[in-house]
Amino acid sequence: MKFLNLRLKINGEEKIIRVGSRERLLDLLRRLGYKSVKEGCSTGDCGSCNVLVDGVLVNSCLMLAIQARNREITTVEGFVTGRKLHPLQESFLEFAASQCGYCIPGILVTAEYLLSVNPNPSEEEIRRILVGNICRCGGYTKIVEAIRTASLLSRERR
Amino acid sequence: MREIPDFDIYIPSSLSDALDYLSNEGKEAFVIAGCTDFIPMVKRGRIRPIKVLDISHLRELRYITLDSGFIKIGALTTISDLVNSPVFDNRYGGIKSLERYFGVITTRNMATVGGNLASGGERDLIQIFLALDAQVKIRSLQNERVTSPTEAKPNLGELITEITFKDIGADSCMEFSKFEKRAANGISVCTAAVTLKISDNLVEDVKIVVNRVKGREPGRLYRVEESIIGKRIEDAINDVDIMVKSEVDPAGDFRGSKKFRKEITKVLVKRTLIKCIRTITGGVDRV
Ligand SMILES: Cc1cc2nc3c(=O)[nH]c(=O)nc-3n(C[C@@H](O)[C@@H](O)[C@H](O)COP(=O)(O)OP(=O)(O)OC[C@H]3O[C@@H](n4cnc5c(N)ncnc54)[C@H](O)[C@@H]3O)c2cc1C
Ligand code: FES
Ligand code: FES
Repeated sequence: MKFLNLRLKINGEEKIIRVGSRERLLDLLRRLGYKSVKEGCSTGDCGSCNVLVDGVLVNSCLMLAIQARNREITTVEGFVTGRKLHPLQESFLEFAASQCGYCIPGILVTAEYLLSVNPNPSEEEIRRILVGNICRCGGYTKIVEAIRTASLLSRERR
Repeated sequence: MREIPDFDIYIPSSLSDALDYLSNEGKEAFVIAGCTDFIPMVKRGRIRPIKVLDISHLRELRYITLDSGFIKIGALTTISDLVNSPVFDNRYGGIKSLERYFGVITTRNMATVGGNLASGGERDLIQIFLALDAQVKIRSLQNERVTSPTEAKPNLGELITEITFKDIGADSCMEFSKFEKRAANGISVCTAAVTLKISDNLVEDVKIVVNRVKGREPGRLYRVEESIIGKRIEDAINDVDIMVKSEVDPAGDFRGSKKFRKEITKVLVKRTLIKCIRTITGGVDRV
């Protein structure tokens, strides 16, 4: 078949959507308006398309939309509750960790994944996971500081 | 980058359904699992699939077990599954090191063991499994065959289903080292995978694999292995690098000339052996 009606959840919302076999998860998400998901390299090298699938960090440019059937997708749009930003987003604002911003959604999703598997990462661990996220504007120092601070703040809150 | 062309996709309900499809209407079908090689290949125009079989959801092919001294790994096991498996303790430092050497976190979460072997070339698991003397099980609807990791490219109609090897046992260690240009893109310049067994301070058994033994072929350095078996570990380490350098004949390319690759391979093999010895002797620095 060339088309399939998929059932999946995006940021907690159930959806049934008709997708083409050639559509990548990245294409589907952008078609549905989740524009935080960016296309950079298309080959798994830059991390700007990163999303969570059932809580696991993947490159949405390397997954066919059909492969996301019956799964739960999280993008940065799902980080916001009402008008309240996610602690990572607050921290990125606080540190002015973003310049043009193209790479930032991918980095935020990566950071969220890191904190889900390792709530108190060291600077080294943050830097290591970020080798898969390319930022061509600035340095990584503010990004690393923002993630580290967000992890400390959310620990205090717990 | 090209557009992905339209293709027919089949989603099997089980392994036997997948094999059935491949031997009937899906004879020419392209198998996909983690897609980390498939999508880049399509985008770069290297392949133009017309029919695709998606096996990514077949849970029956995703497992790591240790039973009666044998380790079995299902083809859909991801690299992250390998790295995080309790089956691999510190004797399997080479498998744990994939966390550092294999692509980035997203690649490790998506890429499967079967896909890595099927893609062939200088991919990391081929070398690691070769150093573990592993066998790869390949199935079609009618047939099942077992082959070495370097020969595991499946024919049309076939699926890689399992990788098996004997647990390396006590006083043994498997290590892997990789020299690459950029940590995240995964393409190695030189690698070394070594499995070592020591007894009474002597090398009882060793397997040494490098990514380019001759030309672009990965393989074992049998002559080097033979020459150090039975030696005291200190002596084995002393002689090994000169011998490695004279045994390998790698093809040079833009990532590294032949001369450069010989030098680096020599150093990597020695370092990897030393890593094995340190693990086996509990970190005691005797070499
Ligand atoms: C950013 C990046 C970094 C990388 N870094 C590394 C690295 O450091 N080391 C390394 O070794 N590799 C690396 N790779 C390549 C690696 O991800 C792939 O080789 C991967 O293991 C292939 O598995 P897959 O499940 O993604 O296969 P797919 O892309 O789905 O398929 C790949 C090939 O295998 C076939 N196939 C898949 N499963 C089976 C099966 N069970 N039976 C028969 N055929 C099958 C497919 O038909 C296809 O030909 C990297 C890739 C990327 C994108
Ligand atoms: S667009 Fe997906 S990793 Fe670059
Ligand atoms: S802020 Fe511009 S690419 Fe990262």
